Amino acid sequence: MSAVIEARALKKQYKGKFALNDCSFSIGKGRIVGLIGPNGAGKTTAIKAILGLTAVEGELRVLGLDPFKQREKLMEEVCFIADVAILPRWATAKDLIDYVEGTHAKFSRERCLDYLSDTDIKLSSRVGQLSKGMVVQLHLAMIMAIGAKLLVLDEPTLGLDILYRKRFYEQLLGDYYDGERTILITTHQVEEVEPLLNDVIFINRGKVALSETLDALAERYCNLTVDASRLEQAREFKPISEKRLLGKNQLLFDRADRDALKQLGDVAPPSLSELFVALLG
Amino acid sequence: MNAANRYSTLIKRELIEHRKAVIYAPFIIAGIMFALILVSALWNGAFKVNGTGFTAKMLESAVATKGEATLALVHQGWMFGFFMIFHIASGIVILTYSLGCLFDERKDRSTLFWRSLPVRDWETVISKLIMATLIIPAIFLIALAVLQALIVVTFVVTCWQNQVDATRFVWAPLPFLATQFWQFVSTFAGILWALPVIGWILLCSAYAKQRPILLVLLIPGVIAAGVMMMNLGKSAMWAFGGRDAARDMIVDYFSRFGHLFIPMVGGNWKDSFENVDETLLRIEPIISHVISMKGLTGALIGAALIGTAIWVRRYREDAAI
Repeated sequence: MSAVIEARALKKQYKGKFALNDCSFSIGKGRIVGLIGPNGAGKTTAIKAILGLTAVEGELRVLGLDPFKQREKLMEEVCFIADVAILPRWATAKDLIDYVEGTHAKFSRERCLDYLSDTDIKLSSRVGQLSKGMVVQLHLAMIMAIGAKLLVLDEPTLGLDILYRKRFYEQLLGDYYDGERTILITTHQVEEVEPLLNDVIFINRGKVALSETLDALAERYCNLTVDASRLEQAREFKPISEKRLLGKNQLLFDRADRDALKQLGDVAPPSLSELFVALLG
Repeated sequence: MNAANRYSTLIKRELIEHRKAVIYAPFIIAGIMFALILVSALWNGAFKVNGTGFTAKMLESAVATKGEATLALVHQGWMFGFFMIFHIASGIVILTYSLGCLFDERKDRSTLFWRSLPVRDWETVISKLIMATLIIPAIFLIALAVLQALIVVTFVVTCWQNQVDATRFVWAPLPFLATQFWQFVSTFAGILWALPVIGWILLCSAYAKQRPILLVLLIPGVIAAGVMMMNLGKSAMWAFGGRDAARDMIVDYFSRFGHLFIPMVGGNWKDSFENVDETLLRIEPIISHVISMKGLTGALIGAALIGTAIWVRRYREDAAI
């Protein structure tokens, strides 16, 4: 697995406070990776560093390039959606398509128009007059028509209704992702992206708290739901977190003996959000 | 995708974004002025046969009182008047454009979209500089030329209507193309002169976190106040008389603006208008300023400020996400 992003001991301080502190991770080609963490965890700084928008200490290579020093070259292979509000409101869809066509060698106008033909967006539509959902559709259509090797999405569906969110991810998987391209997503809507992801990176206080494939997570962690009568027995297996749910107790275990746990109650893999709360909460 | 296509894309983006101020405004100004002139001409009956007042009749009476040479001055005079109006209007548009062009895209966060494409920061800044220093003045010059041409046509029509010799009163004494050339040279000499100001405003636009206009005005204001305070101390202590070489140089540089345009009349508009009998609009003083040490120093300072603006755009940390 060749690494698309290789980060070693990244450090970044803002006014004496570490946004990234000895942060290391690696993202392989063709993976869909969730970068997940609470507010202020360092996700945005990590993404800015990956896009070459901020200088960081440590070693960072994206597609073999130094993102800060070789940003323009990197942008030939990397696309980015920050959130729905970054397209200029004064521009029409045609203005933006013309601009991307004139500045990006890999852009295919035909493909972009093809994607847009499935939407209600007209070429004469001005961004300021489109709904948030349509703006993100427009942005996605342009990005899919570039076919970059790496796509970075920072809260791409923030503020969109569920229909647009669903459609966004469907298009991303159906039309963009081909198994060769890499997608890095940060979002708070963990449940929504979980079915898409191959890998997950939990980041907290500028450090990587967990970096695993989803398959490995399912093998490593498990949830046990037990009655109060068996709670003490379950606790002997040293759960990493515990909560009460509808009169039952749910305990989360890391590398526990599943066969033994199954004697005590129902064992199931935890969701990403449960893991997130347990590990970073 | 070749470089020419790439740069024309960058310029096209600027033209579309600022179309109201850059494309519509100059032609609207020209249209309004021409409409006013037409209304005024109609009001004065200039198009009627043997109509009273205005244009042809005015020219006839000017020649009668001041002689044939007056015709050239009259034509240069009105063309210069419209030039000054367009010159000031384009100056306002250039300064407003420069103030917002690197700031507004950060304010509305669209900078993240623009910077997500493989365009170098210096290319973006240079495209904005080209807009401010070449495209905007050129569009204003075109609108001005159209207006002046329409006015000439009006003159000719009124001459015909009044059976006055259009060749004698309009075609022969009117240095239309020479004036266009003078306007062209004056405009771009003015731009070169203003390069330190444009560079400073672009730098503030690239750097400002909130209101670039505050930076544009405050920093020179604080420096000027500081220099004045130092001079006060100096003159009190050493009785230097408050002279300061740097201040004098700056004041001289900027006051030269007036001399740049008035000097076509030799530094004194009124005297020259009355005494010069052939060419009001002279190019030599403008050229000699541009290639003077002061002119070149100003252009160099402007270039240094623009270079700093590129650096700030490239390396500033708060590209908002």
